[in-house]
Amino acid sequence: MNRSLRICLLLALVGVFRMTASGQADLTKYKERSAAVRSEVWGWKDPAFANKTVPARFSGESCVIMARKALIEADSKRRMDWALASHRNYYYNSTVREMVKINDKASLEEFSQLSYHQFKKLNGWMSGTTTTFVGARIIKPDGSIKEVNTDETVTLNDTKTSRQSKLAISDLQVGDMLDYYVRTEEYSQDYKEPERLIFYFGDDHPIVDFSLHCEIGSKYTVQYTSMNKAPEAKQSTNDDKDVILDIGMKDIPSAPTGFWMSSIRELPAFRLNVLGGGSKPVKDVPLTDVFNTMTYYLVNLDVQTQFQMIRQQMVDIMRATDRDYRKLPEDSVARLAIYAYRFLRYYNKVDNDLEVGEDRNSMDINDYYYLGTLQYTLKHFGVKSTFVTAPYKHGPDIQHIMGVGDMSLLLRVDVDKPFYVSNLNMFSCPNYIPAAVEGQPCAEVRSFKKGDIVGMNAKMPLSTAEENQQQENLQVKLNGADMQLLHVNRHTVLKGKLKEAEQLRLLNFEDCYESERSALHVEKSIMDDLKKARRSKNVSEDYATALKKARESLKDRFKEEISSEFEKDPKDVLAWKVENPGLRSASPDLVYSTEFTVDGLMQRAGNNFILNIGKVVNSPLKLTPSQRTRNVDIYMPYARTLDCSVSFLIPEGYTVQGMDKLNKTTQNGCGSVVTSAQVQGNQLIVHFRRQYKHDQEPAGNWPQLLAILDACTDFADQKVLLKKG
Amino acid sequence: MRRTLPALSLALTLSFAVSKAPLASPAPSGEDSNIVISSKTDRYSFEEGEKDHPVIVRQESKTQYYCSELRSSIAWVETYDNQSRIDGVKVYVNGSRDKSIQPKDEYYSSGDIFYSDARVYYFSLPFVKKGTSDEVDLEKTTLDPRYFTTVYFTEEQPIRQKTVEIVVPKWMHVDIKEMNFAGNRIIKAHQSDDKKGVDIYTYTISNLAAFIKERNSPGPTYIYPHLLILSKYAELKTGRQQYFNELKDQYAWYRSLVLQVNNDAAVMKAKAAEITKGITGDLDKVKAVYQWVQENIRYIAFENGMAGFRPEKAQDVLSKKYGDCKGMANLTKNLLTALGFDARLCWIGTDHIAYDYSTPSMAVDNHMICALNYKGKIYFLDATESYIGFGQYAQRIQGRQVLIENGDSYLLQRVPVTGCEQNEVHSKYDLQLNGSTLSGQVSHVWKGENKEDLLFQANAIHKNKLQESILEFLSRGNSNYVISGVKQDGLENRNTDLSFQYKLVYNNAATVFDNDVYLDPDFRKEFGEADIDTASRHKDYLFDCKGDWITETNIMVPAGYKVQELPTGLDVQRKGYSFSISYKMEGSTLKYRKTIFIKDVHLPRSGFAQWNTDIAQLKKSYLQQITLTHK
Repeated sequence: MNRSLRICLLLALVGVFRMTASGQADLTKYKERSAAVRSEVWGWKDPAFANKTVPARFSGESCVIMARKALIEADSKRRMDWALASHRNYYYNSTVREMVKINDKASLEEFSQLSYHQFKKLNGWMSGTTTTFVGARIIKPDGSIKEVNTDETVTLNDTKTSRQSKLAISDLQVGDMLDYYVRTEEYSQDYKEPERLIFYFGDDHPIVDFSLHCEIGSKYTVQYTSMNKAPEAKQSTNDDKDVILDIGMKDIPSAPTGFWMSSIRELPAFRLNVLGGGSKPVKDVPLTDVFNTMTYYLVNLDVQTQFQMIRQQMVDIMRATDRDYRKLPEDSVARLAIYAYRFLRYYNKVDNDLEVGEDRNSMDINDYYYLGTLQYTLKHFGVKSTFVTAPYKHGPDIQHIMGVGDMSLLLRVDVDKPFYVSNLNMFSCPNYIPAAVEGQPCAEVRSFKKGDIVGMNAKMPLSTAEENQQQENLQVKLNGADMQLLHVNRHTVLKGKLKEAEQLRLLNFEDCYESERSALHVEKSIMDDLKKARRSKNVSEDYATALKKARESLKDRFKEEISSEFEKDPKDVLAWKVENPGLRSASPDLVYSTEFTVDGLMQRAGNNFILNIGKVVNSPLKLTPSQRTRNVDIYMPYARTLDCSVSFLIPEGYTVQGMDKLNKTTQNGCGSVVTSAQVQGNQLIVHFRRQYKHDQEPAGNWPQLLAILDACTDFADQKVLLKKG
Repeated sequence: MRRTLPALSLALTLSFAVSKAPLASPAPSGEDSNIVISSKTDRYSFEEGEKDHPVIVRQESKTQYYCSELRSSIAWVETYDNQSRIDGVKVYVNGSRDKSIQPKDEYYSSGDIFYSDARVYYFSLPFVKKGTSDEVDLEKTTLDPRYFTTVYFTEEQPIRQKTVEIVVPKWMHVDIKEMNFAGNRIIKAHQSDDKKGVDIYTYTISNLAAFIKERNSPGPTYIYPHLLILSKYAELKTGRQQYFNELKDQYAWYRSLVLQVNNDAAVMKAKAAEITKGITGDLDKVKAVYQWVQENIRYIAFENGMAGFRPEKAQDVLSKKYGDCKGMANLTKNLLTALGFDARLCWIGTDHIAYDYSTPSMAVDNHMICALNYKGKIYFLDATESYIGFGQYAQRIQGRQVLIENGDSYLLQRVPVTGCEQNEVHSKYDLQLNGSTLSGQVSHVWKGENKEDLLFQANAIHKNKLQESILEFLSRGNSNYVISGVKQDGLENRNTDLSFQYKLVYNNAATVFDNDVYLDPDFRKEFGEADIDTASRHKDYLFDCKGDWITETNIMVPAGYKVQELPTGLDVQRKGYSFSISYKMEGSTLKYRKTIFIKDVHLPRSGFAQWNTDIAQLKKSYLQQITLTHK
C-alpha cells in the first residue's frame, strides 16, 4: 500500500470522507495544539503499545501491526453569538494510532510517507473546519526512540479552504517499529454531518491488538453494531453522561483472499454512526427506523412537480403508441408508461457537454426521484405500484443494516402478474432485477410504529445459471492463404445479468435513442428540437458531430470487448453490430456480432498445423497457488453459463486429429464443464459449456469450484492437429 | 538536481493570437482537431530589473483558440515557481471578456516528485459552440534570465500560426540556438532597432502538430522545434552582470552552491568506518559504501528553489535516511572522502535531454551523481539506481557528458557506454521428454539493468508473498509448471548476477497425436508481442535498456523417437538489433538456441516497418513446433 492509501486507510477508519474543513491557518496555534496532541497521544497508557515482541506466528510477515487504536470523541456546546443568536457548536475528534513492525522494503515504502490535510474548511453554508495533526516516532531494534520532526512536513497545496501536506518519515529502516498517529479535529456550527464508520478487524497485515474507544456526548446519537463474529462493544457512561463504547480484538491474522470475496460479509467488523441530535444510543439499528426514514424521504419528494414537467409528453407518447391506450390491459399500460417515462428521463435529453459516447450510458438519476416520480406517473395512468426494498448482496446483511444507504429501492408494479422496476441504469427494463439485490430478503416500504417488526420473509427472485447465459457462436476459418491467422465471425447473446456490463460498454446512445423513439412513435427527434429552438439551433451541428464521434469510437469499444473476452488483442476488427440492445422486456437479451482476425493460436509443425482450440473458446481464471486453499465463503456476482460453439472450417487437404481429448465432462454440485468435438463434413464442431450453478458457495465447496476452474484451465490447453494429406 | 518537467517546459511557451477572425483551415492531419490554436504570439523581452533581479524577462502572450467541431473545453495551464511570477491573465470567451472564470493556483504535484515549488495556474476554458473563438492573454515575468532556458513552438493543441519574438537589448548578450528546426517551416527574421537599442528576433511557424505524450519516447528536446536561450551576461549601468557566458560560469555557480553545504566530516568518518568495518580491499570498501547508500537511503525527489540545485548536508541525509539525487550523491561522496578516496560531485543530464555542456545552460542537466577517481580510472556512482551494481551504468546516463567538480575548475567526461552484454538474460533448460511431460534442470541469469529491474520488483513485494511471486514469475503463471528445489543468488547483492536454478516438471508440455509428439521448445517468447502499432505511434521508440536475451534449450529425445523435421531457423541482423533462432540435433539431444540482441535503444519511426516485419518473423518462429515420430 502506498503512502496515500495508507493515510486514506487511516482516514477511512475514522470516516473523514467528506468535503470539509477549515479557515486560515494560524501556524503558531497549530504548532501549540500539535504539541498538545502529541503529548496526549504518546501519553496513552495502553499496554498494547508497550509490547515490542512480535508473536512468533507473525515472524514471516512483511510487517506486523503491533497495536492499532482508534479513538472517537464527540462533544457539543451551546453558545450565543454577537447578535445574541443561539448556536450549537459540534466538536468531533478522531484519532488512529498504529505501531507497526517493518520487516521489509515493501512495507518500509508503504509507511514511509504521510499525506494529509492540515486544514480544511467545511463546504457550503456550514461554518466549520477540520484540522489534522500527525505524529510519528521510530523505535529502533535496540529500544531507542527517535521522534520524527513534523516540521519537515512540506505543503503541497495551500488555499483559502485547505492546506494539503506531506511528511516523509525520516530515519525509518527495515527492522524498526513505526509508532504514528493521525488526529483529526472537526468543529462545526449548528449542524453535524453524519459520521458513518466501519472498522474492519482485518487488514493486509496481521494485527496483534486492535481497540476502539468512543466517548460521545449526550447531544449526539450513536448507533452501532458488531458484524461477522466481531465482539460486542461494551457500552457505559461517564460522569458527563457521555456514551462510552469499547471494543477490541487481538491476534488478527492478515485478511484472506480478495478473490470472489465480500469483506463486509466475511471480516469481523464494527459499524458506528455518530449523528447530530441527542438521543439514547442504539445498538443494532431497528429496521423500522430505516423503513421510516425511507418512507419519510419518499413522502417528501416533490414528485408532483416532477411529473407535471413531463405529463404532456407522457400523454402524447401514450396516445401516439395507441390512441385508446386507456383501454389496453393494465399490464400493457404499465409497461408503455414505464418505457415512455424512461425515454423522457434518460434519453430525450442533451446535456451541456453534449456527452453521447460511452460515458452517456452511465448517466445517473437518483433512485428516489426516478422511482418516486415513476410511481406517481403510473398512478396517473391508473396503475398501482409499491416501493420495495432489499439489502445489497455485497453490502451489509439484513441483520446489520444501519441506514437508508444500505438498502436498495425498487418499484413493484402491482398488475395481474406483478413485476419489478429498478433504476440500475438507462437500459433497465421492466421485470429486470439487478444482480446486486437478487436473492435478498425484501419488504414493502412503509412506515412503522414503535415496537413493530419489519417482515423480511419475502425474497427477491434469484436468477439461475440458465437465465444468465452467454451464448457464443464462432465461425472460424483461416484468413486467406495465411495458415496462422484466424478469421472469426462471432455471434454473441448475453442473457440476464450478463448483459449489464456490456450494455454500458457497447451500446451507442444514438442507436438506443432512435430505437426507443421509434418504438414510442415520437415524431420529433432531439435534433429537430435543437434546430428549431433559437437558443440551441447553433448547437445542433455540434451535437451531430458528437454523435458521429461517438459512433467512431465503437470500433475501439468492440475491440476492447474482444480483447477482454479472449485475453488477446485481435489483429484487426473487421465488423461489429448490435443486433438487439436488450432494452425491452419482450426482447431482453443483448445480441451483437463481431468479425475479426486473431493470430497466435495456430502453430506450425512441419507440414502440419496445431490449433489451440481451447483458447478459442475459453479464457480461464488463473489462480495463484495460495488461492487454491480457502476458508472464507465464495461470493460471485451471479450464477451463470457460458455456452460456446465453434465451427472451424478445415482447410482443404487437411484432416483433424486429437478430438478425443475434447470430449469431457466435469460435473458437481457447484457447476459443470461439458465439452465435445466432432467433424461434420469440412467443419470441426467444438462445443464448450461451463456453468456456475450458484452466486454464492460456502467455503467448504471450494474444492468443487476448483474442479470446475481446473477443467476450464485444462480445456484451454487443448489442441487439435491439422494433418496434411 | 532539479529535474526537467517536459510538460511544464512546453507550457512555458503559451502565447497570444493577433488575428481575431477565426481561421477555417484544417488542423494538421491525424490529430484531434476540435480545438486548435488559430494564432498565437509570444513576445519575450529582456529588461532591466532591480537590485535583486538586475535582468528580468517579460513574457506577453496572446493565444487565440478556435473550436472547429463541437462545444468543448480545454484545460489552460501555466506554470511558475519562485523564480517567476504570473502578472496577469485575461480570458475572452466567444469574443467577450469573461471574468467569471476563476483560475486555480496550486502547487504542481507529480507521482515521482515528493515536493516541488513549481505551481500550476489553471482553469477550464469553455468553447460555447462550433465556430467560436476564445482568447487568453498572459503576462509573466522570469526574474533571472538563467531560468529562461527554452521556448517551444509546440503546444498542447495543433497550431495554425504562431509567432515568437525575442527582444534583446544591446546590453544583453544572449545566444539563441535553433533546435529541431529541420522539417518545420519556420521563418526567421532579425531586426536591429538602434533607436530603441534592441535586436528583435522573430520566428513564425505554421501548421504545427500538437504535443503528444507517448511512453518510451525521446525527450521533447530531441523532437520538438524550440529555441535554446543562452543568457551569457549583461552590461548594465551598474556594471557587468555575469550569467553563463561559458561553462566555467555555470560550474562556478554550481560550485558556489555546493560550497555552502556544511558537511560534517566527523559524522561521515564514523559512518564510513562502520560500513566498511572488516573490509580491506579499496574497491570492496567503495562497493560497500555504494551499496549501503543504495540500500538505506530512500530516493525522494525535491525541487525547491535554490535548494533544487544545492545538495542537502550529508549528515542530514544520513540521519533522515532519505534524499534526492543531490543528497544521495553528496552523501556517497562524503562517505568515500572520509575513507580517503578521491570522490567528486558530478552534474549530468540524463538521456532525456538532447543538450550537452557545449551550451552552458540550466537546461543541460537534471541529475547529480558521484564520481570516484581511483588509480587513474573514474567510476560513476548513481545511488538513485537502487539495485544496479558497482561499475554498471543505467542506460539513462550512459554516454552522457558529466561535469565533474575539480576545485575551482572542472572536468568534463562521459559516462562509459556499455554493450548489450551488460544486461544479459541467459536461460538454460536441460530437459527430458517423458510422454507429454518435460522435466529437468533450468537456470536463469539476469545481469545489469535487467537484474536491477527484477530486484526493484522483488523488493516491492511483501516478503510473505515473495516466494509465491517468484514462482509465478518463473512459471509465467503457467499452472502446468511444477517448480521445485529453487536456488537463488543475488537477490540480496547488487554486485553479483541474479540467478535462479530449479527443477522443472512441465506437464502437458508436448502434444501427442497418434504416434507423433509435438514440442514447443521456447517457454518465454521474449519480444513475441513487441510489434508497434504504427497507426497510433507517432514518436521514435526508446527501449528501456540494451540487452541480450539468450535461451538454450536441450531436450533429450526419448528412445524410439526421432525428430521428423527441424523447423527453419531465424536470422535477422539489423544495425540496432538482431534475432537468431537455430535448431540442431546432437546425438539424441535436440538443441534449440535463441539470441535476441537489442544493441541500440533508439528505434526511429523510419525503422518501425522493418521492426514489425522482423517481429512478425520472430512470432512465426515462436509458433513453430518440433515433431517427434516413432522410428
